[in-house]
Order: sequence, then C-alpha cells, then structure tokens
Amino acid sequence: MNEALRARLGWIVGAVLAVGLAVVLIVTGEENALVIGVTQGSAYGMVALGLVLVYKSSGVFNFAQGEFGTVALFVLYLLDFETNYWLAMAGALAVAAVMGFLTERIVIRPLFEAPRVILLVATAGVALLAIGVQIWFGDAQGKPIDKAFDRVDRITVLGVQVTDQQLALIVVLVALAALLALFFTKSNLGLAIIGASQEPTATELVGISVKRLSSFIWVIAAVLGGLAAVIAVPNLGSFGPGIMTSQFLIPAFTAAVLGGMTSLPGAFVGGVLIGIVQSVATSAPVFQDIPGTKSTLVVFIVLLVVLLVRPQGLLGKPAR
Amino acid sequence: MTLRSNTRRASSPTRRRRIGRALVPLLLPMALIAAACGQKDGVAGTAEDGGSGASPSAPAGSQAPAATAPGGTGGTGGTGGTGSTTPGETTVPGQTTPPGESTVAPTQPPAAAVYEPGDNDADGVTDDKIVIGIHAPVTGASPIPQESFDIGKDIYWQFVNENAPDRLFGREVEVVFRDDEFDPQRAVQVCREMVEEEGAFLLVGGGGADQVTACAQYASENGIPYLSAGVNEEGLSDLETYFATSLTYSQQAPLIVAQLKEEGFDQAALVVSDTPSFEDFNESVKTAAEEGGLELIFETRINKNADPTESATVAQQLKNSGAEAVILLASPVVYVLGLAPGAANQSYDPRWIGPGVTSGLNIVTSIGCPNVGNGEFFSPTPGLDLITDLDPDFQWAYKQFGGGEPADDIGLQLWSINKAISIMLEQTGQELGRAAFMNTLVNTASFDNGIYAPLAFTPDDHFGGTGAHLLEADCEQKLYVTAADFVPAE
Repeated sequence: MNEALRARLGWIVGAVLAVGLAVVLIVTGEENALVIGVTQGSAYGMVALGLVLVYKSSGVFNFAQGEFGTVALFVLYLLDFETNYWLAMAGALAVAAVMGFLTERIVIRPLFEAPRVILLVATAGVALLAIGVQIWFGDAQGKPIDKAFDRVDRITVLGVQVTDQQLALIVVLVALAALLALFFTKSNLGLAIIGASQEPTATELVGISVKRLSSFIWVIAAVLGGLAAVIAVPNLGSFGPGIMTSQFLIPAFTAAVLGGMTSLPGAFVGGVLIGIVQSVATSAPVFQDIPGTKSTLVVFIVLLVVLLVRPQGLLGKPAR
Repeated sequence: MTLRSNTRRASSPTRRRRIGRALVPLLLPMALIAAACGQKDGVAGTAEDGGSGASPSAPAGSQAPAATAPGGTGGTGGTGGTGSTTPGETTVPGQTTPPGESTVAPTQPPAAAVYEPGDNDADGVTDDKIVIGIHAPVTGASPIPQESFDIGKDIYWQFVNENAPDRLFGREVEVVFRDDEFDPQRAVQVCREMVEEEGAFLLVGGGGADQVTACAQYASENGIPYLSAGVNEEGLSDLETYFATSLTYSQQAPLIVAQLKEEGFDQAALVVSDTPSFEDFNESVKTAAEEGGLELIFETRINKNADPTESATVAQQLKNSGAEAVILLASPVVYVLGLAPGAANQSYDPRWIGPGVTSGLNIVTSIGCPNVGNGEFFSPTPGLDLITDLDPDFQWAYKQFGGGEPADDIGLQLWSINKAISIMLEQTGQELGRAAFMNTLVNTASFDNGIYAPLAFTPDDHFGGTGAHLLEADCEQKLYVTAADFVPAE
C-alpha cells in the first residue's frame, strides 16, 4: 500500500466512522447524543491532550493530569472573590503550571531512570496527595463556580442548546490540538521533544537538555489540564475535591487510547467519540436493559473492538 | 406553582399551639394519670414492663429557654401500666403537644418480649456511660459537611448532661463518629470498628442508603440496634434490629404524588438511581402515580455515580419528554453536578421533587443554586425557619455548645435523632440492654420528639415514620425552607 495512504488510513477510517455514526444517530432519532457527545467529549479530549503530551514525550501515563485541573479550579474559585474572572483564570493556570513544574522536579526527575510503571504509580500518588490537600484546605464539600460566559441559548444544534461556555471549550480544544500537532511536526523544540522521548542519549549528545525539555512538557501538560478544568467544569455549576480525576480522567484515558496514545488530534477525536458513545449508551432504547453503569460498559466494549482491529488506536502510529 | 392545601396549612405551628391550648382541659387530667403511671415525655402508650422508675430531673437552675427539661417532664414509677390505646396507635401528626411537653396517651397492656438478651447485651453501657456510634459520608462521592457532623453529633447530649444529668439514670452519652466515605464496604468496616473497638451500644446511620443498608445488615447479624432516617425498604425490612426513624422512600412516594397533584401537575418524569435498593421506591412511585392519577411520561434509572455526559443526556431526555415535574431519587452529587446544571444548560427548569434526606440538605442549595431553585424534597425535620417554633432548645443549645458556629440542618438532623434516641433510652429504663431497648421500641405505641412526626414501631414493622415535612429551595437565601410541616403519611 502507498506509504502516504497508509499514514492517512487512520484519518480516513476515523472520518468514515464519524460520518457513519452521525448518519446512524440522526436516522435512529439519537441526534441529541451527537451534540451532547461533542460538547461533553470535548472536555475529555482536552484532558486527553495533556495525557498524550506527557506520554508522547516521556512514555508516562500521568494519573495526576486531572488534579492539575482541580487545583486550578480551587484557585479560580478563590481568586474570583478577589479579582475579575479573567485574571482569576490566568492565576489558576499559573498555579497549574507551577504544580506541573514541581511535579516534574520533585517526583518525575528523581525517578527518570526508573521503570515507567514506577512513574505511573508516582503520578497516582501526586493525584491522591493533591486530593488530600484539597480536602484539607477546602474541606470535602462542593463549591459553586461561575461560568466565563453565561448565555446558554445562543446556538441550538439538532435540538440541543450548546452553551457559550461549551462553545468556548470546543473552539479552544480544536485550536490547541491543531497547534500542538503543528508544534510537534514543524518546530525545532517539538522535534527535540520527540527526539528526547525516542532517543534520550542521542538527544543529549547533540546538546539538548532532556531534563529541561521534560520540565517544559510537564508545565504545558499541567496548563492543558487547568484549561480543561476552568472551561469545562463551570458548566456543571460546582466542583469538589478530585472532580477532574473522578469525573474526567478515566474517560480521558480511554479517549487517549482510542485516539492513539501518541496522536494529539487523536485525543480530540477520541474524546468526542467517547462522549458520543456514552450519550448513546445512556439514551438509546437498545441499551436500556443493561443494568448498572451501561455507558461505561459500552465505552469499554467500543475501546476493545477498536484496539482489536487497530491496536495503535484510530490515529496513532504502529509500534515499529 | 406553589399551591398548598388548607389542611397542610392547618398544621402550622400557630394552629398547633391553638389546638394544644384547646386541648389543655382534656389533656391535663390524662397527664396526671399518665405521670402517676410513669409515663415518659414524648412516649405514647408503653408496654415495656419493669421500668426502673427513675425520674428525669428538671434542669437545676437551667438557663434553657424551654420550660421543661430536654424532652420535657417525666413521671415517676414504672413504665408498665394500663391504658386504652391499641398497639401502634399514634399521636396525630401535626397535633402533638408543644415541644418539651409530655405526650400523654394512655398505655397499652404489657407485651411479651420480642428480643432476648444475648451475650453482648449490655456492651456499650456502664453505670455512667452509653456509647452511640454514628457513621455518615463526609468524604467520597457524596459528602456531608464534616464540620457539621463534628459539632452536631453530640450537642443534644451535652444539652442533656448540663440540664438534666439524671435523665438517663446517671449515664452520659458518648458519641463516636466514623466517615464511611460513601462506600458500603467501608460502612461495614467502620460500624464494626465502632462496635468492637469503641464499644458502641447502638449504631446510627447518618446518610447514604447503600451504606445504611450495609451497616444495618452487619448490625442485625450481631444483634445491635441500628437506627437511621428512612431509606429503602428492600434489604432492611427483614432485619430484626433495624429501625427507621422517618418515612422510607417508598412510604414517601404517595406524598410526592399527592404534592404534585396539589400543585397542579398531571404528568411527571421519574429518575431513580440504579442501585438495586431503590427498586422498591421505583415501584412505589409507579403504584402511587397510578392510584393518584399522575401520569409518568418518562422513566429512567441513572448511574449512582453518573458522569457529566450521562447526566447531560438524561437532562436532555427529560426536557424532550415535556415533563414539567421530575420525581428524583439520586445522590445529591448527581442532582447538583449533573441533572440540575444539565437541565439549566438547556433552559429547562422543572419542579424537582423527591424523598428526603440528603437532597433536601442546605449543602445542596448552597452549592447548587440557582440550578436547584425549583427543588422540593420531603424531610424528617423541618427547615431551620421552623425549628425554633417546634423546639426552642435547639438554637439555644447550639449557642451554648456549638463553639460559636451557627446551627445548621445537619446539626438539626443529628439533634432530632439523638432526641428520639434519648426518649427511647429513658423509656427503656435503668436496666439498659440491647434487647430491652429494642423491646421498648416495638412495644411502645409512639415516640414523639416534637420535631419528627411521631414514631410508631411494632414487632412486625420497624419503619416507624408517620409523616414528613416538605422543604422547598429558596435560592435567595441559598437554603431550604419549610413548605409544609407534619404532612401525614397516607
């Protein structure tokens, strides 16, 4: 098969699946699930973006990704009383960046040579510590959180209102996925990060500091986590300790794997697909008799099928 | 739509006081007779034989605003006696005597002991102390404010210790508390700890139906009395040591339907958490709706820990169904973080209504407003707006023992159940054991703490609630206020 065609096969399969899914949903009267899936799945996609970024650069599954976001939410909540919303949001992202930096310096870097599974457990530890600190300082109760954009009825698509806040999430996510994809393929820094992840010794030999690159990546990933939280969660009206881990991390991981753990646009596509599948599993009559967490069950069945057919995920590259 | 029936209004505190005054000439002679028979405050129709006869003291130099000791005056002598009421007869909800005064219904004949003392019958009781264990979720997926629990768990007992130290025959009550983390397995673990390590005499479930069910099953296997606000019946109805101190979810189903009809709704949707223990509520609502002429135009079960996508999808389905009222039984997290904002994002603002307790807590309005502004939930206790009328001791005690913290509704829930337990302990008498305590519960016609609708247990029916209060969200104050008090069970 033509190499170029092979490289784009994932995109073609993804596009065909997306169009087919959309048609099926509209024909079967589940068109609401399409819109809800895109709006809700965008939040998963943005968290997945940070997961892919860290995995792509260091091969680490980052279980702390969600808590970069929850910490940002707490800061937004606190600063919102003191200053205007946009400054509060900037402060929240700054604190997320600091948390990402500290995580890399204090936890990841000392374990850089350790097996990846140790790093995975270490990031889970960071997440649990963050949740503990949130409960310690903020108690376990929910807190109300304001939206940046209040209007909810500007746009209606297929019978579902898309709020301005959700619209902002989708726009930011698409822009970030595209920008990061360009960054990793076109910029020297992006290429250096890829090089460091694949051949760290060779990268050091050509004069690039792998450790500095690692700090940079963790800061960017933390900002992405923060951004996901401060845009997505206000749609829920309130938040509590660990909300990004409990409500978003598992779907985001699934989205990242579905999209291909190394593909940034794949994270976006995976997130949206997960959102749609969850929504369909909740509303479609065919799934109504499944007891318990049917949306989770159906999501994992879809994931299993995709990985059996295409182990590298929809947009990931096969391991060589 | 806020139509209220005249009958509900008729049970307002003012009217209750009027009724109380009108009944004074009738009640006074009965009170004297009952007092002579050792009738305890808040107790109607005892059958437990062999009470100790110790009488509760009036507060010596008490500064409490209530005219009586906590729980009121008591009589002397044994608790057995004669009377004319039949077993299970209750005080009429909404027409109880004013708080702090005795309910003086005549007693019923002594009944055979239902419970026999086991090996550990008096564990948790000494000559000067009774240990009570309470569990509730203060962390986890559906947390209740821990500070409220820490402060409120023993304020009633501090109040008793200070104002009527002899009321429980020289014993003080020590409360131990554990966080069950909204996890049934954890609940069993902490209940076991409270019994085996802390020596709890009885256990109290502070919230969370699945945790209550799990811990109650543990308690029943070990002969330990377990009390909680009414939750599901499934999994609890055949437990010998479980006692519900308010209406179960199923028992509230007809009240919910009646309330919706009263407000002018002919159709509603039904959303119930998919935990198996809520199946009885699901079926009860369907039955009540059919009997009450309420059409259920949409029904679904929602994941106990529904994620935002599932909640948004269900909210959209509710909107599409055209339902203007939604009967809801789900965790407050699903309500506050999922369904209510999901509906608000679709400019959909139905009447949310459901059984108590947790969705009717002020924590829901404090973080969920304005999305939950159209919420209405039944509750064993009234809102804080009404409590001073029903029990002035509550606010006073919080000022005295609350460490400067304002009284809240979690504290009110704890105060109320502790007050009910206090009446039960007092009624059991000085020879306190688990079997004697539970025999008292099932052989006493009713217990009235002045806050709950009177409680009436029988050997065959441990769901003791006879009525409920209705709370409605007030998003200007960000709390629930009382929409109707002492709504009787149908």
